Amino acid sequence: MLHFATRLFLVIVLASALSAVPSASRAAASAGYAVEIADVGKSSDLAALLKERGYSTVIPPKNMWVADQQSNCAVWIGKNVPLEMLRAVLPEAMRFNPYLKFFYVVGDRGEKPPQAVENTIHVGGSIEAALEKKLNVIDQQEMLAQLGKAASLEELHRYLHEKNRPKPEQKPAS
Amino acid sequence: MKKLLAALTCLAMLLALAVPVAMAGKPVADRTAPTTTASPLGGTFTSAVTVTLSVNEPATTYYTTDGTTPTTSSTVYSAPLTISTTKTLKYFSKDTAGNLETVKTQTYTIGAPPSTHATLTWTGYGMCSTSTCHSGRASAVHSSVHYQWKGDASEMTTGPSTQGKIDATDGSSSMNAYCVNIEGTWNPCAACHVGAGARPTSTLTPSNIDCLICHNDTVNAPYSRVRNATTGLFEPAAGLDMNLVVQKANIKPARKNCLGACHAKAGGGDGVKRGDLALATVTFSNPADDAHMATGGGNMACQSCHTFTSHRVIGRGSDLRPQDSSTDLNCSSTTCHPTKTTSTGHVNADVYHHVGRVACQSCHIKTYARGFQTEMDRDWSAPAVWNATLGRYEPEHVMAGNQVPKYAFWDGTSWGSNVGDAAVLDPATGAYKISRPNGAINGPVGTKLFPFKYKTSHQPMANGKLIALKVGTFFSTANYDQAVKDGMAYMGLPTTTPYTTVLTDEFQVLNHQVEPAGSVMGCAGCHENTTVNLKGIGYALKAPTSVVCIQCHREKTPGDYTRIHSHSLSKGFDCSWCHTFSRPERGLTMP
Repeated sequence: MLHFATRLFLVIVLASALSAVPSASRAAASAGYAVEIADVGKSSDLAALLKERGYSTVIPPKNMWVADQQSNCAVWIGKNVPLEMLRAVLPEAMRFNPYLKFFYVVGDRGEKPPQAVENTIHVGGSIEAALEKKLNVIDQQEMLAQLGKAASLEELHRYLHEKNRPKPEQKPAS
Repeated sequence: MKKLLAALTCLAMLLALAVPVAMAGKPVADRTAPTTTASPLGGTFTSAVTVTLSVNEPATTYYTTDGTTPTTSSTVYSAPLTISTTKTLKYFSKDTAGNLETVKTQTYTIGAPPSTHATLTWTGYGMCSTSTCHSGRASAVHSSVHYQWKGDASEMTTGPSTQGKIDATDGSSSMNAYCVNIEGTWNPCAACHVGAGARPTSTLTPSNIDCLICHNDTVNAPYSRVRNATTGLFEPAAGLDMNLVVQKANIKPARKNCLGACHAKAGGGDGVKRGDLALATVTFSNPADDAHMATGGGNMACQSCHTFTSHRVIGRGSDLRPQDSSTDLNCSSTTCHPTKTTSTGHVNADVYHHVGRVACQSCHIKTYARGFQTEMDRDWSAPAVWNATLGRYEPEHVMAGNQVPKYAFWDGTSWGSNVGDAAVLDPATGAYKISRPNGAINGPVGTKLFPFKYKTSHQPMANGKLIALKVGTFFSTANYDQAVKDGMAYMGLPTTTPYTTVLTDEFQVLNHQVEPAGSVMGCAGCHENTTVNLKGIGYALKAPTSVVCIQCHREKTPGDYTRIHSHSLSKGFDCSWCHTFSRPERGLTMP
């Protein structure tokens, strides 16, 4: 049986700890949103940083498509991931992997991914998949600027949709 | 008379007792080959080198220095050899019991290698191919199967004379039980091409030959390549000292080059396709995982067996359509195991009766996918699985390790289903055939029993043809129906054509993951039908015992294997007296 003063102290400590976590990230974590980070570069440092800020993070086991920062330079954005979470996570992801250059909203081409994917940001998708989807390179500075000025999640999705519109096929040189 | 009989009886008893005693005292026959060691081992030397050959037991050592395989007629070693110019030394010993050692080879390169690599500056992928140094090699690579992904299909009994995996609608493009066919999706497949990302063409494009993918020094100056995000072509990964990479690239490929870059990842993932090769093969240390390649075993490079001539490699998987070289790869025809097909080649003399019809692999690869997993089944029609890294769906598939091979006779030729071919049902497996080794128990001399990985898949079929469904559509949408329709459009069929999903299968010969000599499959693996179902592969009697036995005597219940086979082993009766096959190469005759 704990003394009342001790219990009061613990409650205060817990409340302080919870209040230290930004409310948006707490909401994101509690709503089941998550950040998946490919195991390249300093992925564990990025995961720790985001976790500190209250986001649920996971580094999936490596597979043959997880090679290095240059090859894992795509970000798969779940369509339900809130704008505020993207504003918090993507700048840090770009800071940790300066090669990130493909940003794609999963489902933008009509695919219907599993529910969990729609609530997840995957940092470090394979360039092989990006090229197969014929995505276009988006400059990091431009992406950051767009993150800042987008008035809504839908506006950001529209921007990414336009940027990733496949370019006409070029005939190979004969 | 009684005394004489008693004396003879005593003498007979004495003899009967004495013979076993005498036999028990007879020394065990020496069946161990001698081991000869060269000192120093081959390598590069700046000046002449004196080489000593020593043997671990009394024996005579024979050698050659002109690259030919020595025999007992070759020069007998008697004193250290002085090698003053580059030479290949081959040697073996024969002990006093007559045991022959496997021929060993050492190459002594005298003088600094004639390399100008040390001063090279990287200028791009075309630098080697356009230079006077390697333009001929670039042409050789360009015409090889490694580059063209198609080639001479003279070992195929189906399809045109040139076949391969490269996409085509002329009946030459192979199907498989994994991603079915590349059907126009060159880019993702190019990750495993020796070019720099562009599709192979009939004319040589020097800038599209990536010598480094095979020849980079994986230890001292490893090379890796990444896609250019705009062009999709490959370029060196950022941060590499490419000058150093090309300066060190004057070497033959190591396992990491062949397996790490491509061959371990066939089928779309580590270990997925081959069953006996995985990324782990590069670093296996335990000979039990792979006696040839493990660092604690033979530590052999791929080209120790898969030798190259003008960039053409020997060896063809039973499911592959083209051959790069018409030279066959054979364990006993190389310098490695030349004695294994002789009567004294194995410790157990009974093995000699088998080597004519049983491939080495059948006994020496008891299981495959040891230490990793390989794909055993893929179902395109089942709910898809999400791949987070690739942000795409993939077909449901079953992975498994430690698999027991299927056994089948193979004469070295193959049957294959290519895009556009009529689908053929195999009543024996109940599946539509993707590839098959040709051969049967009654095949001609040279046909042998081999171990195979058996792989199934669930694929669409329409108009009597297997459909090369569009994997790109499937990956992005998980919409099997749309992927099938896109595949039908690719094949020139109306997309409204009704289709069904059928079971397909293929056999893929197993050559790697050979186990150490002490782990070989014992006689009981076959002769008690525990591992290999002999009757299932054709060794059953040709008729009931009531018919077979009475050809000579009354009907009998077959006893153990050795006893029943005294008909051929002792009496010399041909196998066809009791079975449906003959073994003329053994000199057997009909009673």
